[in-house]
Amino acid sequence: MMIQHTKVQPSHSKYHIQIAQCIKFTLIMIVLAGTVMISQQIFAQVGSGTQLGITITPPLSEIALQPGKTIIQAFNIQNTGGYDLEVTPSVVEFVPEEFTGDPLVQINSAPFPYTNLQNLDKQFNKPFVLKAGAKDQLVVRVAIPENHPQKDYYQTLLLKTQPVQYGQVGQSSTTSLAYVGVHMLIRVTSDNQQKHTLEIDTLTIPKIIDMFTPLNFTLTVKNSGTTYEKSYGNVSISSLWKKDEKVFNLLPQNVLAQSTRPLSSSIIDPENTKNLIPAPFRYDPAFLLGPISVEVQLQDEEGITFTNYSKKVFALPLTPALIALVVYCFRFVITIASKRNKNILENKY
Amino acid sequence: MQSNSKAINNHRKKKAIIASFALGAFFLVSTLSKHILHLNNVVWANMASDNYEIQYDNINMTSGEKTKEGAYTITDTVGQTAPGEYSKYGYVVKSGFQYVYAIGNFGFSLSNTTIDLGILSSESFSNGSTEITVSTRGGGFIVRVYETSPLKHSSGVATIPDATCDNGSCTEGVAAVWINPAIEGFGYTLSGTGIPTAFVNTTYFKQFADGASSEQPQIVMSSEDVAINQKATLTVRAAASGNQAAGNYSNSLIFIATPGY
Repeated sequence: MMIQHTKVQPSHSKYHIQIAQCIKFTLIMIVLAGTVMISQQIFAQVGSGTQLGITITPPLSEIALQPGKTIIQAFNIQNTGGYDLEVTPSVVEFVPEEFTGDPLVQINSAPFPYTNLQNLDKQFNKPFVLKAGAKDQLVVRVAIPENHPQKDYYQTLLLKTQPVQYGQVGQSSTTSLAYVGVHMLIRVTSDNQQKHTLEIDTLTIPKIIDMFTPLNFTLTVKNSGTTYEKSYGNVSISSLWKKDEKVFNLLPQNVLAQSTRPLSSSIIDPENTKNLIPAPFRYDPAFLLGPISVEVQLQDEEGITFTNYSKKVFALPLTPALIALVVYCFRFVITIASKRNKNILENKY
Repeated sequence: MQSNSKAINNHRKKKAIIASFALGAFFLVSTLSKHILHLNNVVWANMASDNYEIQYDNINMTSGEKTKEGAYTITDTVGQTAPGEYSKYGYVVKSGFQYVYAIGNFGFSLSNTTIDLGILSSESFSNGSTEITVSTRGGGFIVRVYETSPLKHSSGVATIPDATCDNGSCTEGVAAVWINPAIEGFGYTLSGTGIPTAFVNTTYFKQFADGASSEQPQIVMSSEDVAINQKATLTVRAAASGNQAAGNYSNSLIFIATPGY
């Protein structure tokens, strides 16, 4: 029994050694994981080298609501830079530029009175810190009072963003901050019915083109109504030989009330066939000949035409005519030269 | 008996090793998932945040995506687009560009928010730059910039005026060649994608629009198209005259970046 006892005793101490080894192994794993954690934090600071970076989702909100109604729209934001940012949210007006329709954000305009932030820890025009890599959400409430007249409001959720600390240079320098925003098209309407107030402003097209050159043109529409509309419809090109030889579908862009906007045609995004992307109006067949008709049809969402307009362009064989002229001139010169040579030879003999 | 206790010990040893492996692996995986995948940072997956209070029931975060004839998609609040339902619910919210399937986001970044111009000296240029990056899935974008004032001396009295370029013709709206360092001023040039065509090459400069004089911010980048990390470099240039007061000069640039509509 004694022998047995002495044999068991070492097995207990072996067991303690094994436990110690396990603890040692666990500690090594913890240290390894800690190292990974620290290296990741260093990567977050150094790897994402931009000093100011922010994303906002969604990039556009189209809101139609009746007077007396309220909606809440959530905007997701993320600091994609490597530094903590001070972010100050606000909602301000934007206006379209006269001819291009480009949005011009009025950063010093009066705040829109019918929005506020639902976040308990955030307010409009009060800065908060968005840490490097952090995500957050701004929950915007739009509340239109009862008996409010039907009207459009073109607003921008604007985030004034700047690093919490600027780098110190101690010499001459310029510091930057950014206002990054997304637009909200707010339509106060009792029925949300489209009024079809789009009209063709300009269809810029040459009168004569060479039969071998592509047909390029631009189209601008004007919205004379009181609410924004989308540009549905198409532009078709017909020749003597074929009607609707080419049809460009319009990209459904928003045209704000009392503004003009150049339109684009739409093509399917080769990278994602579910998407449409803008494309210029350019028709480039092997050749065109004779009178070509370019017809614009503005339609509603169901495809019913409410405005159409057409222009004619003449495709002439200018290049063949030029080549024929050059060939004729060349032959003429050669004929004259050969006649002269003949005369010289005749005079000689 | 001896072989039996040996077997028990081996079994214990195996169990201990497996347990320690499991514990270590769990710790490692949880750390990696937190710091590589940022699982702990996903805030917008959860509407019931401590940070805001929901007072109304009409909430639109991203809502539904439905394919529509003609290959574009509407992204609206579910259940409120059928004819006649507007009057019942009283609102419709559509998020994102309706011809782009994914709602996507709008992203803007600056590589450098402090542009160091060094020590300004006469008859030489001081240059510094920042890289602008923009991403949007649809609708295009516009980036504008203006300065809060011309470069000002730290005393607030002396200024370096906005550049007029070699032939005195450049303004905030007109670009011109500026290669003569004897001509003082402060301006910028651009290179990259989506920049105004006036910047033929990097010898062409413009003044910054002066916010203090209520000049309109000028476009430095724009596109009508999808932009995936579209980049342009804005290079700032300063040149001091011989009789410029010595010292440090500074001002601020304000960028305004928005997607289209």
